[in-house]
Amino acid sequence: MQLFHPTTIDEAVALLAAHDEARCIAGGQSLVAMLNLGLLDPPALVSLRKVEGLDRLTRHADGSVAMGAAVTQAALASTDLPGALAVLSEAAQQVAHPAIRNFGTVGGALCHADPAADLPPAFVAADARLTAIGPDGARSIRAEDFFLDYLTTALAEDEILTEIRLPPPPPGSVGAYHKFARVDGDYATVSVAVALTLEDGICRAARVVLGSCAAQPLRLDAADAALADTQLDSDAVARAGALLQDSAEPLADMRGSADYRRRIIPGLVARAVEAARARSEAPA
Amino acid sequence: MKGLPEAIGARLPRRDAADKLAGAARYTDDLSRPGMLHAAILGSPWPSARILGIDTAAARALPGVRAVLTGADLPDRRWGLFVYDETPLAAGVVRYVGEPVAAVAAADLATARAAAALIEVDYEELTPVLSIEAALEDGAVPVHREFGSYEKRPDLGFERVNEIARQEFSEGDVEAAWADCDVIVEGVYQVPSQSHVYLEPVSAIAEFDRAGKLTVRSANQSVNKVQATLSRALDLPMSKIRVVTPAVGGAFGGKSGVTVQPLVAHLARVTGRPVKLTLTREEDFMAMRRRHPAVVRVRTGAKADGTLIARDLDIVYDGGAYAEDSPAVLGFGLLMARGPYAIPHCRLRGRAVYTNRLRAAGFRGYGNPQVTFATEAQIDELADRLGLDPVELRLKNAVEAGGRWIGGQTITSCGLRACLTEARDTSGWAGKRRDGGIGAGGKRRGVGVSAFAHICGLLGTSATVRLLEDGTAALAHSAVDLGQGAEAALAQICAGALDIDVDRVDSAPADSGAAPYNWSTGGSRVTYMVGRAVMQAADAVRQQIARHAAETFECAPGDIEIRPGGRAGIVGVPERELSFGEISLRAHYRTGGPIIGSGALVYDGEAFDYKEAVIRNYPFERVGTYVFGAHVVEVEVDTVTGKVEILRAWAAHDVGRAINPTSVEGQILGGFVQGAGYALLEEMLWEDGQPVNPSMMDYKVFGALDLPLDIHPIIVEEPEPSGPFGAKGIGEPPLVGAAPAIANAVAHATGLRLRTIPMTPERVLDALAAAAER
Amino acid sequence: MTAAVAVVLAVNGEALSPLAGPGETLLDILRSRAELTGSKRGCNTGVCGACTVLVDGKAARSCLMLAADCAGREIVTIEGLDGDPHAALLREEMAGAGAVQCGYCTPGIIVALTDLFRGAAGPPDAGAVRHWLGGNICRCTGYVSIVEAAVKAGRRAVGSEPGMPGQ
Ligand SMILES: Cc1cc2nc3c(=O)[nH]c(=O)nc-3n(C[C@H](O)[C@H](O)[C@H](O)COP(=O)(O)OP(=O)(O)OC[C@H]3O[C@@H](n4cnc5c(N)ncnc54)[C@H](O)[C@@H]3O)c2cc1C
Ligand code: FES
Ligand code: FES
Repeated sequence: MQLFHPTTIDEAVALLAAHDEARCIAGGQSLVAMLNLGLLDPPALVSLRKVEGLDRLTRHADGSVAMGAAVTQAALASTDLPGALAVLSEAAQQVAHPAIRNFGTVGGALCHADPAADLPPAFVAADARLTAIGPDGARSIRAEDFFLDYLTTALAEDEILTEIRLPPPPPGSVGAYHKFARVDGDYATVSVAVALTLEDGICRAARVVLGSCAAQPLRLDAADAALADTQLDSDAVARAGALLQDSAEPLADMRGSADYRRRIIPGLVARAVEAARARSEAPA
Repeated sequence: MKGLPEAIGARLPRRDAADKLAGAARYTDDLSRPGMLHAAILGSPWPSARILGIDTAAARALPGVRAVLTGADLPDRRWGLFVYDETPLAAGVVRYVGEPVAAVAAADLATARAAAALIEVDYEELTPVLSIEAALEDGAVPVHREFGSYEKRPDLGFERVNEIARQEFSEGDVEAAWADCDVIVEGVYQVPSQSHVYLEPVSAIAEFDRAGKLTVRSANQSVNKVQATLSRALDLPMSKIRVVTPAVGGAFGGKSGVTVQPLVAHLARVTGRPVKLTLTREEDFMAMRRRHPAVVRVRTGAKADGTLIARDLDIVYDGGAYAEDSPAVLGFGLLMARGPYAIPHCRLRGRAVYTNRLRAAGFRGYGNPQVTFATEAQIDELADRLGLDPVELRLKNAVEAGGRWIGGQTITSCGLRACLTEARDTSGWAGKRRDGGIGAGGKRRGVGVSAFAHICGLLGTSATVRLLEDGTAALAHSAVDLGQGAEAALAQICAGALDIDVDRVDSAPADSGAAPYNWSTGGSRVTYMVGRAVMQAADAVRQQIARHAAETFECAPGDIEIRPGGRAGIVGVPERELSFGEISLRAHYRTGGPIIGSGALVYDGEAFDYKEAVIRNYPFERVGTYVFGAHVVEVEVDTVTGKVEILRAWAAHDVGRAINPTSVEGQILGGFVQGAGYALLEEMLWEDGQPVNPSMMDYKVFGALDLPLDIHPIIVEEPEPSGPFGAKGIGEPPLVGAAPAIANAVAHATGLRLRTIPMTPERVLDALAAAAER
Repeated sequence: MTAAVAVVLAVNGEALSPLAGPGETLLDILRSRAELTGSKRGCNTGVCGACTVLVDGKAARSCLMLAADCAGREIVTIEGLDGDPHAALLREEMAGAGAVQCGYCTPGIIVALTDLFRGAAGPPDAGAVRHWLGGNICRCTGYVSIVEAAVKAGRRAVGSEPGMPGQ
């Protein structure tokens, strides 16, 4: 296995293209664990550590945010983001443990595409746009369309995720991330990311996304619609929860059976929505 | 603590702490020997299969490989504790997934692992026995077809296929007694397989010198047990084997027998080089040891006033693929099954069985946590039915000093009542009990109690104390320090017995070539048993000191007193005294020879009374002296997720005498938290015989954020007449009481009785849902 | 297999250039080539925290760092904290509190807490300490004594009590 240290994205893309089955290594916090367990043995690794500019997080005046793929989870966790984008920092705060967040990257967490991971549902809730660069240039992928299956994304083998862009959150928007896990720092048994737009106590738009409830983050138009134009009364929230519950196809593993995970969805959705709503009432 | 020497009861920092805090303490895997090879193993992919052939050619051909061993290369020499069924590598058949089938020694670890992966094994799969029921059903496949031919010590009378042991402890007339009971509760309780998860995975280094003497450095709990087993496994006299223990990164029973030492010794023998094998965490999970899962059927009856009358208990422990200490675990569980209560009519029966899963073995509590989870739940179920306060019911029936344990032994000291009342009073029990079930946001609170006993004693031990030329002392014993502070506590006992400063007592790490015999660091026995040997040895030294002083002062030895700070003088004449240094020089250079004292004993308390009780197939006739404790735990149950959170806990333990209160509290806190994991979180799982969660990612243990800081150790001191300064053991009991107190608190919070642990969120939610449907 | 290559590492202020095989981690190299065995291997998958070191001043899992990817980075291991005033206070308080039992988790805990103390504006409270130690498994102590010792050391290390380092 060879390890390369390109300094530009073009160089990195060229290296990926030149070596069959080569992979990027960002923080290594998932990749090296898999190497250690003998689950992977790539012939070449392309380290993103020295690629210029990948670790920048920029907040624009209009509220939009752009972050390089190599921004660490710790950096995201400690950044105050406006409105509904708070769901991102809040999710990042709940990834693993401090030492892992210090080196684990946002891009790595998205590209690893573990269905139980925290950042994918949060980035879907925030309606993020992911920039991928390959030999044929750049393209933008909506977070919703990025996660295809268990550990599988829309990236081609020689594409690199370089940047994540977040549209400006609408005024009155709030976000929250609620994670339920066996113990602190474990992957989620079920997690809920929400982004709500509130206007005088009325929910104008909602995005509710579940983690660990399907092979990819789970969002439903119907569930979001059930919350829209309501006061987020318990009936509306229960309806959204029930819709999500019906479509969930969770994995069964030592964290819980599929049935158990399905059963706790409505209750956790209600907690996440309540947490987000409470934020809109809290003094800024 | 009037009249006690300064060293006793002192909160002294442990001497090993400084090196550990610096990262300078050396554990086995930290060591290297000149020319050392590295080993790797290949584990079985099947729970039960015949090995038809093993092709090691590719592995041998890899540059750097020095040896490849399979079961067929090794002599047929089995070992065990009661049933001699174990081999270093699978011999002909594999009996659990992960069982070592072949081993490689190579110049470096990467090569050894690569070579192990190249070994091809041809298996014929056999029908595995994957549950207790399957093990015992009519026509069950035997896990060991050769069982009849194995050596057994003692032969414990096996009635059925797959039975490792079958035992009984009974008193009174249970069948007749039910008629006298006003209330009877009955239930079946299931307890899981818990993994030790000592933080240091198993490791060993073996080497032979040119004279053929074997030295093994390894993480273990008894250099003497390892030495004896190696002797058997390798057909070497014990005089040709030295076992040394570097720092040990936790054990909890999991390193109590041999682990990989015989295998590594074989590799060292065939290669003529030092060889190290350190298991990966995953290998350790799959191929070492675990707590016995069990099914417990219990029926308990009481009078309307709460007087306990009768108990019928039947337990089956899943012993896994090899017998290990299953017979002793079973026996110990039964000895605890009456609980710390004077129940006149008891029938306590149990079995341990073979299955095609990882071997089960001793783990902090040794059969007791399984039993006590069930029996302490029943006491609360009775209290509920009788409308009595659970603490009051326990106090009403609690055993006392002078009373009898089941089997007839007299209880020589007992702080159970004090434990119960202290835990009750410091926890604010009454108020919390009144508020059961209350909570906000879908959460409900509850508080629960448990009372329990354990034992310390067991088998043989010894120690020596030498007076060095300057009057300081050198203590030698073989109580391996696993991190619990055995070494420090024994040094304090020695210092106390000689009435000198602890800094003036040296003690060396366990080394079979240098220190006297000790059966094991286990069974909460070190402070009590080895402590007694240290007392004897120190006493012999004191007598010699007195004789030297008497000779010098030309008086009778009886007129000599030992004074604090290492001096001996004439009673009533303060100025007539000699320092230990002066006396030791006299002994070394003028007369008598160096002062050395030794102590040795086998547990010598009262034996079982075979006229009073029916005791069948029990491997020991005396076990130990009893220790007691009581826990109160407050929990909050989330009715949305089913998760149980521990809010606060009070853990009261009668330790006889706390030699070092800080160490005692450390045992209480650590044991309680492991017990909380047993109650709520930890369970090794298998599917079709394949381990589901053999990694720290999948098998979780509690971290710092999962538990409250509000865990309060309470030390009760009811001195044990036979103990060193009155001390008894504390290692295991804190784990024993945790699960039942937590389950009782959950019952108080929800009104639901969970009879299966761990009480995972899913199990709790299932119970809540089932109750809602009723 | 690709051959091992020399990697230039700065470990505890010294330049080292050990050979690192492909796939070898920083932990592998520290323990087997640099004779720095204070960093422990409890799991090799990032879960237990026993291998925690500082990489460029931040707590890191050395078992999840490829050695070859550490070229040019500043590595500080438990052995490198010998003269560190924060570590000294932690060690003193932990020894006194009985927060060390088997000691296998201890180096990782000292390193992680040193990282916390260095970055803290004021003395960390019990909550902050627990949060920081969330990823350091201790199977022996039940954590209570560790957290209490760390809070005490923190008070001495980062403010409130006069005359202490860190002020
Ligand atoms: C003990 C432990 C606990 C954890 N707990 C959690 C948890 O609770 N929640 C959670 O969400 N995660 C958890 N994780 C995962 C952690 O968040 C990882 O950091 C993350 O999954 C991967 O990020 P990384 O930067 O380390 O990526 P790496 O490990 O370097 O890479 C991961 C994958 O992504 C690919 N990749 C990385 N960057 C790019 C890129 N820019 N373009 C294309 N491909 C790329 C790699 O090729 C690789 O396949 C845990 C990890 C550990 C070890
Ligand atoms: S060994 Fe690195 S985290 Fe466990
Ligand atoms: S002291 Fe043993 S793991 Fe922490």
